[in-house]
Amino acid sequence: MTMISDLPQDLVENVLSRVPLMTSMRKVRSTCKRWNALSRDPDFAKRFVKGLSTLIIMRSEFRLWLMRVDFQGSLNNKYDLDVAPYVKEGKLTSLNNSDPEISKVFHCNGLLLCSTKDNRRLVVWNPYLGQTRRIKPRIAFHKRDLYALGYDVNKNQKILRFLDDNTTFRNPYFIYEIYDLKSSSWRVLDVNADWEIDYYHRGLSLKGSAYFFAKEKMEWDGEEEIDVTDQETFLLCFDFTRERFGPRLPLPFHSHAEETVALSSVREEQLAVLYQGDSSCLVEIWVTNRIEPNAVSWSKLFLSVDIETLFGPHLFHFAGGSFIIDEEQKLAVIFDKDEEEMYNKAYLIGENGCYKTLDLQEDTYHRAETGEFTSMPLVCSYFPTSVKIQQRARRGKRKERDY
Amino acid sequence: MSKKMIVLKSSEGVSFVVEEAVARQSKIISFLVEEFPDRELPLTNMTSEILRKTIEYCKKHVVEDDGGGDSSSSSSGDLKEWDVKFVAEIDQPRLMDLLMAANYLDIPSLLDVTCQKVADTIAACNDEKEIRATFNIENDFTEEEVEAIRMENQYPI
Repeated sequence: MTMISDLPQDLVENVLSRVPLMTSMRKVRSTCKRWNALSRDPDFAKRFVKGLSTLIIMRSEFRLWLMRVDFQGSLNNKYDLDVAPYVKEGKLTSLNNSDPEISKVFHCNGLLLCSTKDNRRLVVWNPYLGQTRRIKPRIAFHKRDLYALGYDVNKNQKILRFLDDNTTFRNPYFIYEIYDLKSSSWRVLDVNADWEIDYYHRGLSLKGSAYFFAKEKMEWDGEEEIDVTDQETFLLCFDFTRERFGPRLPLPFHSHAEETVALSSVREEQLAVLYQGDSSCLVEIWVTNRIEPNAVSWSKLFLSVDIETLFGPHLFHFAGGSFIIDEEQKLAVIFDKDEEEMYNKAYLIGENGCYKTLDLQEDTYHRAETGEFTSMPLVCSYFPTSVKIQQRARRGKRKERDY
Repeated sequence: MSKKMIVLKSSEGVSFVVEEAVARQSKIISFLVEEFPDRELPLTNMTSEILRKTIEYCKKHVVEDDGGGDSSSSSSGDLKEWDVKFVAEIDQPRLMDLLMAANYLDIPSLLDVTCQKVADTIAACNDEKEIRATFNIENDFTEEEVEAIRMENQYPI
């Protein structure tokens, strides 16, 4: 009689690569040494990922959820409004009752950079390996901080932090700094910005670089209103090798303050951008043909839907509009609030009037207990990797002897 | 036209007469019948019980080519349902044998359903203790090692 332990390696791999490891990880790894070692093997990780459909991470009610994207399943049940284009695999941070509240999340190559709602902790986390590293600030973290995780040509992992807080006009507060995980130190970046990035416009990572939606800096004397209609808007790339921002990259539309603009990554290769003007129910999405730190070209419009005929007049929140797309089916799912800004909802839109709205069905304890309005649900792409978080390089005699 | 039959022999020496089209779902048998036509094929590492199961699976999955357009004996939805029932009725040790047989005979779809069934069983276990008990796996960890794995992701941030 054959036991599972008698199976050759490739068959054990075949079996384990089908277990939803992200949520069953602990029990699988605790079973025996062989399984533990196998699940951490980079080759296994690749095979495991290949068998997976697209994953995303959603931050909602300050918790992180792992979700599997399933546009096809939803399409097959066009008229069943309960069939969502995603399946919640499980809460990523639910293993303990005192799990922290996460306010910011940024994904880069299987690593998540998370900050807590109290702005006290910034952590790099590989949920697949269960590895974490806490990053200590040089200057206390701020609620309006923007973070990005990336790597340079030598695969050195770095964190970009910037804060451009001009809300206190008389006392503007700027921080541009970079953290090198190898040297465990922050360095101030020399950025002479003629642009600004709103703190709620998260960037995203493509091939190690971070991209942001930015706008031209307008001088404001603090008193008179300024006309922002001609304010230029563009993309900016932060290149972690050169440690600087690249040139302004054109967008296929013009937007001004408080309109909805959101970015999404497509197969970790291209970038998609969503735009909804502040006086229109037209939602437009474009995808890049090519994107590099200093050059971009856009495909023709990917999707253009007037949502008024579908959902009634609805403007996605200027700090929301987080979305994912399905290229083949020409669909998009936008994560936002409902009309009353009470509950988190997902809006599925596609060509030819295809649409659905879905309740995100989460614990509403937050609102029930604290009465506070929580922030927008947001999603980022995610794929598990066995990329290790860089640890501080050892210094001293031992290293010298080694070389 | 009569269908071509071949003979498969289990480790106990029991012969099974099978339509060639059915047996050809195994890439290995497909190869063997071309190399050695009209020969009995000995499958010395397969018991009669497992061989019978494997043939049952292949019979269900054979696509009959009788010239008709829509000739598949079952629709794909029905087949899927049948597969689920098929693996559900097999106990754990025999499922492993069947998985090994699918691998040895190179029947990709059978390997697929058996591996998936094992994976689903693992996923359905509540903890590592249940996994070990279900699959008869020896715990080769020390207390400390198990604790170290437990600590991962415990309180990540």
